Amino acid sequence: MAGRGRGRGGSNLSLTHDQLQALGIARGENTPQIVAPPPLFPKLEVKPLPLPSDAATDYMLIVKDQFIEYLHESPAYVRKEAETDGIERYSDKYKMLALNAKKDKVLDCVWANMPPELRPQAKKVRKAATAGPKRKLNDAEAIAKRLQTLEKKEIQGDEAMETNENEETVNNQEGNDDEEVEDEHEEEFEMDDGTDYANNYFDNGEDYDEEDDNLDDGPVY
Amino acid sequence: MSHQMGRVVSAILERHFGEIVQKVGDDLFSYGSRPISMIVRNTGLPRNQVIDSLRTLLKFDLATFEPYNDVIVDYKLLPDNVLLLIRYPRYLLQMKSKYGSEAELLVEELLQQATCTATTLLFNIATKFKDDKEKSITILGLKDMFISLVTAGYIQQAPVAELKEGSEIPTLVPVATIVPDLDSRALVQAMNNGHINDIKDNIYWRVNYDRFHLDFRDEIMIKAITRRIDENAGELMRFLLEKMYLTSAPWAPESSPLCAVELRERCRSAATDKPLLHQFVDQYLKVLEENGGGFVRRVGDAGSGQFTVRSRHAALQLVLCALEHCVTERLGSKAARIFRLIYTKKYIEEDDIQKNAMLVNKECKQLTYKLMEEHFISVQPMRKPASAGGMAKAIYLYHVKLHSVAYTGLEMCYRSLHNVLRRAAHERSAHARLVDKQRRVRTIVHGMRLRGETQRNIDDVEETLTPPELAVLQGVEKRLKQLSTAELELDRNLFIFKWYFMYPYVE
Amino acid sequence: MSVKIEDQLKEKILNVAKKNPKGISHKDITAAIPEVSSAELVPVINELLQQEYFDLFNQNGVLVYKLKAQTSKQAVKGADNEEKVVYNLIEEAGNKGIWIRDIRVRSNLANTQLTKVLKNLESKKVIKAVKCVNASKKKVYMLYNLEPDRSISGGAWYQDQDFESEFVDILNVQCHRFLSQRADKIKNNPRGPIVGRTQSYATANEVQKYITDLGISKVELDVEDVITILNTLVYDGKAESSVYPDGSKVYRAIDPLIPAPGLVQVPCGVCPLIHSCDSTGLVTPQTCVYMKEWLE
Repeated sequence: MAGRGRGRGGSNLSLTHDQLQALGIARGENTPQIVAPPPLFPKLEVKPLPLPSDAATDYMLIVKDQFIEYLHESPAYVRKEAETDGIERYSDKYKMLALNAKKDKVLDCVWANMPPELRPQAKKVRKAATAGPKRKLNDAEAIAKRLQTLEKKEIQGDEAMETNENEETVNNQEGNDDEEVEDEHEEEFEMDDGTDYANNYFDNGEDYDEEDDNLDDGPVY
Repeated sequence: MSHQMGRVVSAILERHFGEIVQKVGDDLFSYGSRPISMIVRNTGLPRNQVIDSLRTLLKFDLATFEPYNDVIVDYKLLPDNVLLLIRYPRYLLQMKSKYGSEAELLVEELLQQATCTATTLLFNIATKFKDDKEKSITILGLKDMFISLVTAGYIQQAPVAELKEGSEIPTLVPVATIVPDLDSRALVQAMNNGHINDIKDNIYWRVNYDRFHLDFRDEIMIKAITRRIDENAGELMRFLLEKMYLTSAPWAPESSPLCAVELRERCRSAATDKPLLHQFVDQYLKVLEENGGGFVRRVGDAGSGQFTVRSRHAALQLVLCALEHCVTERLGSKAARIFRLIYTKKYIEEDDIQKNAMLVNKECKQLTYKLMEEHFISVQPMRKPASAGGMAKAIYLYHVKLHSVAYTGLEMCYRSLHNVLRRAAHERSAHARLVDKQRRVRTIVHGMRLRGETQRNIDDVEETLTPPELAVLQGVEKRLKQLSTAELELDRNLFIFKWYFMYPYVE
Repeated sequence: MSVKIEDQLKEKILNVAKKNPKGISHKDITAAIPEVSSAELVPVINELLQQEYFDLFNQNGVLVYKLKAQTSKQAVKGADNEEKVVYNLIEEAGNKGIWIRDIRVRSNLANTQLTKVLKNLESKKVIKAVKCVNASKKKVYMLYNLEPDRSISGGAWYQDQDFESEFVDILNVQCHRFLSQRADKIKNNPRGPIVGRTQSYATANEVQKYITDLGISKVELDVEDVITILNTLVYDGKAESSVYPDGSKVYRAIDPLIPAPGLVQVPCGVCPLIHSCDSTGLVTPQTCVYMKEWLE
């Protein structure tokens, strides 16, 4: 009894290849292959609801654009310094001049409300500040100490609206301990040289070069 | 502060202040509080650019600082304030529609300057419009409006720097706003002189966002009541809010009790405008309480009825409504039915969901699981005490943890906002060259017009933009407009979530 | 009342009925069984009615119970013991039915034997298998002439054990339409908002009458059925309900507190991929197809 059931079921469920062919079904025909993976973006069943379009919205769109345009024209929009991609171009000089014309403007801030390190300051102060003991960048205390001296000198200095920035500090932070002696010399060198913003910019390229090989080069005076 | 929030904040900073400020902002967002040297080291940006960026952030109140010790200053981003940058147009709209164009000009200028003395503010605007006879903007008119706005709290005094002894790092201390006494004669004199050197003014002002937000909140509540009941009830809601400001903290979860007598008086003074409200004020109070989404609750009988305004509850109802809309659009109205059902019943078994929602069993289950998958509902297993049969069966109770669902909604808002901003940036950069060309052509044409050159010459210049180019430009413009509109709408949505999260979570 | 006493009472009533083939009235029963109060009798009589021992007639304004011809009972008469046991179990379950596993456990019959017995009884039209609406795979057995209980059949919303969701949807829409017609009465009503609110409310009875008059329902819907539908409107956020002092439920059509928010006005709000979207990878806002379609 039990055998009968199984036997009948078996023959019913799977036909042999020949049987299938006799029925006119070729191999693979009954199972259409799904070749493509499901789409990355399945079709959306619902659309988002319409956005409002009224006078108030139009007004807001206009003032929004005006506001952003205003900000982009103002010194609050901080521009990149260098667009050089390693290839020197004739046009670079003009581009930079245009850029620097914008950069020359200083953001109008209530300086008293700003931390001293953000206030515009004269750079000669910095030069004096560089003469300090060798510091260890990884040592928080040492940094603090160094900053302390730096800051103190800065504060003593006049607060003229000169915005020349000290590029070298960047190098200092990026450099490792071994480079530090050189860095300091370099800093002084740069300090002497950099008299205006545009100059500062052009120095930038050289600066990076120097960073690479300043282990070999002695300090330049 | 979530990852998604960081992404939006980053995109907003880029849009408004460029990539460098964005980088500095990103750094501050991910590391919390840190000094310049650390920012410089981590971003690899030149120190002067980091300084420029920090100036921008501090000026617009997008970051704060505090001394780490006597010399080192730690900077901290204020991401919530960064988000407000995209609300700028709404502040102006509010001013324009509530107080007119003078108020609009004042707030516009003040938002652009971030902080400014009254003298400079008034002088600059008046000078700008000196020759504009149509608008007839005078420095005295501006002055009066300025004082009105200060009195109404839209403009407040900026914090002032205080120096602690032995430290050079200022601390910004908030000060109470005193309505200024501006010398009209001196202002007029300054206009005649063309400069303000003679006026000594060292009080700085800034826009008080919070005051605007209260307006937005009130409007949302009033509008909701108007939708639910009618304009009279909406107006009554407005009066309740008005009275509330006199006795309670403006964002109080529940206001202190307000007397029906006072409200009746207030309605009497508005009788010509809203006669029905005046006639049926007590009835309206009853209907507002019973059918007004629980925004108002009766708390006592003294003074012929005492009522509180429930800002927290209103925020909850509105967030719930926003989430329901969201479920409806994402998963369909049947899913929204299940969501609401579970919320109403607090805890409910799967079988009962099907019975109450009147859905086909299979569909109901599918939707329930979908809702769970998208974190709109959650499930809590409960062990039944072992029954007589010996088999201890667990029952599963579904419920809505509104606080965490609202968080999901907030995150979706952030995501969408970020995506809209990113997409717009992508759109702009993909067509930067063409847009730039269009701008140049416009500038040239403008110059030619001023010089009075012939139309033919002007046409020649204009034709440098080919028809296909113009078609592309039109498309870009349309898409950017759509994305901008979406940004404004998402911000409006965000406002409701922020309002809800303003109140600490209670079970 | 314990089951035993109930059974005895049933027996007594049946005996009285057997003696009076023309039918008995309530009075006859109380006269024949004076020791039992009328209140105790009612549930027993109801049960007998439900189990279709009686037919109910109205003779000159008096309800008369008449014993039915006991075809099914007789059919079992000639059956073997197993069939009797199974029959009794099924009979006991009434119109709620009994699950095959429960029959097996309680009858102690082997599976194959039980299946045979059930088939037998089914073919004799003594019992029937009814699909349960709560669990489509679960079949319960009950006496052939019984009307399945609501919990089994699902009531008005089920047709042959299939939930008629379209029917529910239609009713949902119609109820909403009815409520919407009067929803505006609350707005600026010259007679005041309380009167206005009352005018904008609809009681379940009113809605039931409206639905019945529409003639869209093949089956008769009672007020409870209509309340079930009205409640779906509440869960849809399209209506709010309240209770009148007399306890009747009232409904009013409402709009959501706020119109659709920004989130659902952008593709991200309806996007199935929102949680896998990031700044880099395959799904980004820049490469998003939905965003592209939306902006077209």
